[in-house]
Amino acid sequence: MRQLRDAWVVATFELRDALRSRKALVLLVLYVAGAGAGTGIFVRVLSAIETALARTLQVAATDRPGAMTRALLDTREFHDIVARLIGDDQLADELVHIPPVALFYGWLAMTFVPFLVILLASDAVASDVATGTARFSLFRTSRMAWATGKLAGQAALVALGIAAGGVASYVIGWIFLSAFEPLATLVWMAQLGARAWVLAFAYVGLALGVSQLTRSTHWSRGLGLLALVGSGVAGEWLTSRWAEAHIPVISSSLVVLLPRAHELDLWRTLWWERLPACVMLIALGLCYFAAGHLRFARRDA
Amino acid sequence: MTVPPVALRMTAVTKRYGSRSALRGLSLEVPRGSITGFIGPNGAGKTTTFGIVGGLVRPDTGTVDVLGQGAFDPARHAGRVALLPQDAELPPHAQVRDTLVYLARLQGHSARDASREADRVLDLVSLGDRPRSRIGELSHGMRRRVALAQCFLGEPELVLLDEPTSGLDPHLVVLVRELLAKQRGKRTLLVSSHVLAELESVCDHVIFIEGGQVVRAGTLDAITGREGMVRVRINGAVALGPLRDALDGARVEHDGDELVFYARDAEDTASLNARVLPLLLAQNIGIVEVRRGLSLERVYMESRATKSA
Repeated sequence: MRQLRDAWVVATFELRDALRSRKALVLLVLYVAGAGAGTGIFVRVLSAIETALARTLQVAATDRPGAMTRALLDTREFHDIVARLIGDDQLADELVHIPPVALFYGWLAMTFVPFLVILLASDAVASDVATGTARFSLFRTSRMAWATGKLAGQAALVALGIAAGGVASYVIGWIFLSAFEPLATLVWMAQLGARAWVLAFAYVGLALGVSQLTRSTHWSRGLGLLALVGSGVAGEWLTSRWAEAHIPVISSSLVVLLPRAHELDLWRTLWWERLPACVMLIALGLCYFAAGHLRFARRDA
Repeated sequence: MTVPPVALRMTAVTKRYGSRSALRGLSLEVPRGSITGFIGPNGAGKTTTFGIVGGLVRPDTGTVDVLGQGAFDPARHAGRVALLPQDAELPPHAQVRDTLVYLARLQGHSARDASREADRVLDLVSLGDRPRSRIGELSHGMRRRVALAQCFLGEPELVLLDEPTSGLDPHLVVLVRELLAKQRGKRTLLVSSHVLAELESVCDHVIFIEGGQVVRAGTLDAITGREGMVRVRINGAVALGPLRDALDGARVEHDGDELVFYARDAEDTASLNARVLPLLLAQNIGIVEVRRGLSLERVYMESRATKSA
């Protein structure tokens, strides 16, 4: 119980401290600007498709995209966009009925949040050890409770970032789409935002894991990026035709250890189809974190 | 339950950083309730020792017994051991009081107790008027005082202070010295500092460390010879023969411009002084200064010179 209490105390302080720092401000600006700009571009693409659709149907094109939403959702072009975004043609059939802004926001969050997480969280422990800040805490609580608190604080910060990005997307969609469905979009954005957070948690675990390996902030950031790129490259290689043909057992066993292998399942519309991916991603985040902690628990702080 | 007389015991502790040995079989004892000065040159192993006692640094070999309950473990020692680390920064974006409340909560206080403790220790270091300042906006001296304040959250039994007055203004040095003196009898303090006069004024025990080993340790009185020595700095020359005769067997020596009087067996310094001073005054010898024993600085320098030789 004491460990959980201490982890909670560290997490709340970590979150407050992050919100007071420029780093958190940069994070939130990145989330908001990224989501806002991305949604703006998406709205333009939507507009272009609608214009083309209007020409095909020989009706007047509208200034505000989304006026022909229903017709748009049934087009092959929109289906292809969704299929390309999530990388699965069959699943795209199920997803085209999600409000377009929510759908795009979900894709945006799942694609870019891991990168932002690694960029901003992979020195969370290392910087405190390097500056000596950790030394004021580590004779008051266990390293496990302290590091777990840092993990929880960073995970909460990411949740805030995803929510802030969601607000930006929602507002832009509301302003620029004429057939914007406020409630349905909100519900879907909340759902997809939560799924993006589950994916992000695996990367928060990875970031905090590498952050515990070294006391150098430069090294920890470098290791974080290396881990992100490495997991991407490894994922591509393990799912390549060559790997599936020559080392099918090894590749199928190893690929499940990478977060990206579970991303597609987060798009499933039925919750019991999503659940294994969610459990696996949370477990992966905790495992990456624990692997780093094995080192942190034994080294000098 | 009996309280062990020793607050900290380290036996044959070694620690290496790569190819460099920081501690080479360090053994020491810090008596419970004492204010012990921990003295040594840069790189002697003081900070490593503090780190090991506080559980921040892992020793390679040897045993450490903190407050009679084995090596440092937060489960046993949280709130009972406090540390002022050297060159460690408090979170710069956080407010002073928030940080102290956080640290107090981390050592087990409820939110309400933690707030009360934060206010108390801020007053202790004369920062009661800056609770909402961001730590990064404070001067170096103020930041150091916040760091010092966190050591006295709650009722720690053992407080480790690594260079507590480093970089402080003279008036703040006095404030810190008074703060430390007030802790006498309440808790055990282990204090490292390069300012030996400062340690001499507050400590009752001293430990000299060099090359990762303790080279000398004991009470301040024993180490400086305060228990049986009176040193009188005089103006002009004086013959020792008549003094020896008049003092009835007490040993007297010249040491530069000082006369050194040694007490007879079982004679305390006050009695010796009571015999010496009237004699000197009667002989019209110009007295510039009278002190008990050697200064800590001189003992330390002699100790280093002996080791070098």
